Amino acid sequence: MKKYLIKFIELGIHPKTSLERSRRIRFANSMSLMGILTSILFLLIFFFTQWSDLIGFIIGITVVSTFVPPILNFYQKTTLSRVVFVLAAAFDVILLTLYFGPKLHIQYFLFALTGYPLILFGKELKKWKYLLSSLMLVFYILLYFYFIKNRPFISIDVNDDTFLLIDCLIFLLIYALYFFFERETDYYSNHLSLKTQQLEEKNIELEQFASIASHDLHEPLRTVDNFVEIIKEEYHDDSNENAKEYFHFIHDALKRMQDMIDNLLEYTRLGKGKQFEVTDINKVLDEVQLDLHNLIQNKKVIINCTVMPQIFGLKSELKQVFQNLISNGIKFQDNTKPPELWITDHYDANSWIFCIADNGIGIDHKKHHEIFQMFNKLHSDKLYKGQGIGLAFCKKIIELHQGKIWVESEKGMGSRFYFSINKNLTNEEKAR
Amino acid sequence: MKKKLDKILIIDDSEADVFIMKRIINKAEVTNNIITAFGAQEALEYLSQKIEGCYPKPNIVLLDINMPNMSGWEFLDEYEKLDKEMKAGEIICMITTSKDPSERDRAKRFNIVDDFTHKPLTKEKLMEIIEENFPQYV
Repeated sequence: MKKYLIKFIELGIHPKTSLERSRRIRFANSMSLMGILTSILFLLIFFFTQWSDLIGFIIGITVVSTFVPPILNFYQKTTLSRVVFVLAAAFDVILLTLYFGPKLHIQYFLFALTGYPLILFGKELKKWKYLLSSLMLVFYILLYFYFIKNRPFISIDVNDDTFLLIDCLIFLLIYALYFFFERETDYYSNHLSLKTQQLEEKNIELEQFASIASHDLHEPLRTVDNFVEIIKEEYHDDSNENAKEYFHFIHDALKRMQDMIDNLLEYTRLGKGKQFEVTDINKVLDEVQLDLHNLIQNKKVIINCTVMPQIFGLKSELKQVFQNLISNGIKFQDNTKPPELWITDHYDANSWIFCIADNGIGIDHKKHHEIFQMFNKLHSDKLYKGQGIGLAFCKKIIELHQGKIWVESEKGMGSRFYFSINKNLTNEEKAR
Repeated sequence: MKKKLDKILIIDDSEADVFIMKRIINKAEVTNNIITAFGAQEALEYLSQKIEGCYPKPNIVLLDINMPNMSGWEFLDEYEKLDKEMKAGEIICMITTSKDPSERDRAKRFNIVDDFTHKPLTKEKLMEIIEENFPQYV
């Protein structure tokens, strides 16, 4: 029995249906089931109290109409099915009210129906769903005015028990509405959190993979390096110019690979086991300028800097970000003018935003995303030396601060690097 | 003529690494007796077996951390349980490729670990270890 119930509620859902959509379809099917049961109950009530063929026919229509939406769902017309569901429910209520009159309180079912369109539709109907929802009030008012002048088609003897029964049914319907809504929302959010969890696990796995891979790559590389050294020591005499050149290339390549592996390892460890702390950006910038003192002196760099805030973050990692961006601004210049940098900040309710602008060579619009990838370089080593890791490090560090990093630049027009830092970072959240 | 060390034990699963370490030690001429164990288990067996009535007790143990089957850490756990008279010389030296600072901290937690150095072993590093721990041999 339960198996068939579940099958019924899942009508119209196939494996590729989005979570959001299937939530609404399941809801529609559940409420249809409620509707079917309610109309059958009506049928039974009247069968045992005051049966007439007309009553049977009218209620029969409602039973049939409540079956339509699940059938449409079965044929994958899921949006249509939900529109029909709302309209059919309103139609049934209006029909029953017209026949049995307002005394039976059937028109009050319209109250519950107001909620249906809001819950059943996402973006499929745009703003029409609000209209559909308010239509129920219009129906209610029309019925009210209709019964001022007209009498119902069927006059039946109503006793107090029938009143109570129908009122209870309305209660039950509203209760079911909340119940199914709550259940589907729960189901939906459980699914979402499961997905998030899987994603997080994958992420951790990936990080571990990078860490392990770079760790294990070290060993064979070192062995090669050692034995090249031994060969050089034992078999090499300085007179052989060719061999000298070969050794140079081997060493160069080994060194490069070693550096790449080291960087990869360092990258995977960024921010590991560190705590957010109050960081005075003014001090950070002082330290960076002290570290880059020689470079700044030699290239006659002008750095314009406003008073910076104190923020909550990873101190040494933030220094790394500023250091990378500032030395990039100094490095990527055409050397026709002294480099000039502007470091500014602003903030909104949730984040600090810093900007480091330069008067350098700029970056082609198409490359604005590429530059943040690991080992990605836009220039040859001969032009601008580097490993292409600085901005990848910056990106990861900023992501640890739940922020974003981006660039605004045109070729030859200088670059403005922006990054944001979440204002509400907590160490508890980071530990997770 | 300086005095030479009695024995040095190398524990490492990599033949290449063992070869290089042996070569460095031979070149430095600090001992005539290098023993190699290609795994932690083998090393423990060696340490706990009497040869001609006494335990081998090497002066220096060069231990690799990253080994299959039984890692350097596991070796240290077992080593701590050994009889006092079986325990090797004054120093156990951790040799590992890892640049992970957390491994260094882990090594420091073992009291028996006297010194910690990175691979590759060089003559300079070896001489430093000996100077620090066996001044009478230099």
